[in-house]
Amino acid sequence: MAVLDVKNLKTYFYTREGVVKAVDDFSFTLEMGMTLGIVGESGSGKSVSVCSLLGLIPKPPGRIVAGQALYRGNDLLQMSESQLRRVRGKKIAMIFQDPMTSLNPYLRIATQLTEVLAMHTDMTASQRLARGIECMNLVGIPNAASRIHDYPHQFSGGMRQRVMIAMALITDPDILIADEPTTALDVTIQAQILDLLVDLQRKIRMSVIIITHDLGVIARLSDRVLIMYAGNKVEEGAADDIFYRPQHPYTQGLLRSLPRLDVEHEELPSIAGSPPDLVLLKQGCVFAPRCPQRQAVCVEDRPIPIKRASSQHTAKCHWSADA
Amino acid sequence: MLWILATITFFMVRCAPGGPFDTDKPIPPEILKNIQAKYNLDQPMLVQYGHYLADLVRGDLGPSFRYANRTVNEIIAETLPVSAQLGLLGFLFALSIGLISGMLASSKPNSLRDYVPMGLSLLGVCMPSFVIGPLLVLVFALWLGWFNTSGWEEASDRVLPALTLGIMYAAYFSRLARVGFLDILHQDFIKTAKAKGLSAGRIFFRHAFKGGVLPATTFGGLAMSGIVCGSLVVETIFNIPGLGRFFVQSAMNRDYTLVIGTALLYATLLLIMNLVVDIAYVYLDPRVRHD
Ligand SMILES: Nc1ncnc2c1ncn2[C@@H]1O[C@H](COP(=O)(O)OP(=O)(O)OP(=O)(O)O)[C@@H](O)[C@H]1O
Ligand SMILES: [Mg+2]
Repeated sequence: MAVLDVKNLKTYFYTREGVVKAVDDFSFTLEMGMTLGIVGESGSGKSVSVCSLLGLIPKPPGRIVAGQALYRGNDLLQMSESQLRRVRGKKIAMIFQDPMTSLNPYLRIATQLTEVLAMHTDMTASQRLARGIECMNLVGIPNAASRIHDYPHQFSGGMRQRVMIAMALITDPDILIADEPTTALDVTIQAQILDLLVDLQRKIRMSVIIITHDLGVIARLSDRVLIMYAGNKVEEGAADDIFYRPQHPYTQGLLRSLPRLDVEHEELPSIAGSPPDLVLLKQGCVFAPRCPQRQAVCVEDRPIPIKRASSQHTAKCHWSADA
Repeated sequence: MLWILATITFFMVRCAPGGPFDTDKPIPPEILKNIQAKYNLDQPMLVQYGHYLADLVRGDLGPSFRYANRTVNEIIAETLPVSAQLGLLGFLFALSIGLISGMLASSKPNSLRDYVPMGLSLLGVCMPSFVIGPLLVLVFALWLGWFNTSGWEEASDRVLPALTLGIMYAAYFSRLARVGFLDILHQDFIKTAKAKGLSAGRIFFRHAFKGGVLPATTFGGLAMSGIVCGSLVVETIFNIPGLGRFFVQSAMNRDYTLVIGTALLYATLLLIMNLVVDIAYVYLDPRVRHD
């Protein structure tokens, strides 16, 4: 069963320079208990797309121009602010990229961790504190019972990200959205946080959306993978399909740029060119200017077909193989 | 610290030309001699200084040179409550109006709610109290007749002086609060708070408040000293029997002990106020506490 079904989401920013089409064509279905990975370069619209779902886009300049996001049958994009507030934190929780700035430096961990419970449940203060300590233990923070009274600056980056994760899990949400949960951390800490997420995934069966530009993270965590480029979903499929049978030239380029242990590299091949300016998007395929397989048809103003490599594997490209 | 100040003022007032008993008509020399003997003025400067310090340690600021039969301690005891009341009212007015208008402005930037208080505060910052004071008197006392033009008898006599004293600092507080809150409201942790489903009110008052008022707090010490100095002018404008007016007069009259005594008192006040601000700062920002 699908817990979240997003269709044709478009989020634009109306800025002085012009309309930034941050998310222009974005759809996915999140199955219960599954993990969906969203991969894309910086600026491809990953954060904007998930923030749109929870109404966290600054308006103005942002506006959700079109689309539907059905959470258990109710459209999140049509909800009022107060309806959305009952979903945020309680049903759909989020972890952000930078644990150094995502926790409030002026408030104790206990306050920040348990205020969600005060908002969304009728637990007493001591029950909330006990639950907070329980969650801190769950994410592997030592001496949770005393450390819960500390301030964020008394924790290391890795520990703060654990606090963020505990904060997201504390209400037992249906869906956890992790926006680049390891990007801002040291490599060794990244591995620890990743282990923790894998471990939690096994213990708590909840649905997860994980955003990253690290394909290694995706390989460890995701059941399904969605590749984004310039606000467009260019390919989606099971993790194995994406890694072993990539269809879209962009995905193929991404995979080629990964270091491999079994091959000796002189230099890692990277995708030529740079990401497009989202204001100046031309007609045709967004990836065409950088695409090694570009043909005349790619830059024409005509809809790009969604090709199916298999029943669960699609790519938005004129040239992908059709099953 | 205070001792250094006492020493400096002690010698400075004596270096200034003129003496406390200079008048237009020359006083007969024998009378002058008597008077100078009474106040130790006939002795060498260092001996005078020694006497003065010895008294000071005992908390005795000495007799006033100009107000016969009154000690500086008595004058201060009489006038300080008046000045303290004025200063406190002015400060509370500045703080409350400043913070509230600044917070309002920051809650909806670039709207009417932002432009009106910020426009007014620009005026407030620019206008010195000797312009605002008479202006307020003109409008509210002379035209509308709501208040007395000067004096310190009725409760309503406090309003105009406190406004005059506080308006400039209200304007500064307002701008600083706006900047502080705007800055905090753009931080990542505010987004985290929103993503947790917290209400706008809780986000503003719980997550943004402490960080938002910090810049204004830092300015608090300056504002308090400014208000202390400003009270000198305001007490003169409104003819209020406060310490400030005595201070100004004593400086003109070469009333040595009164000058030093009030200067010392002001310095002590400023030290205490800065301490209060530091404590407030530590209370607001936990990061300062643990470093
Ligand atoms: N408030 C805003 N005003 C204007 N443009 C914005 C705003 N927020 C985001 N954008 C634009 O939307 C695009 C997508 O941004 P987004 O943050 O979703 O990227 P991302 O894929 O999450 O990148 P990263 O990996 O760096 O986090 C960017 O080009 C950005 O410039
Ligand atoms: Mg992002």
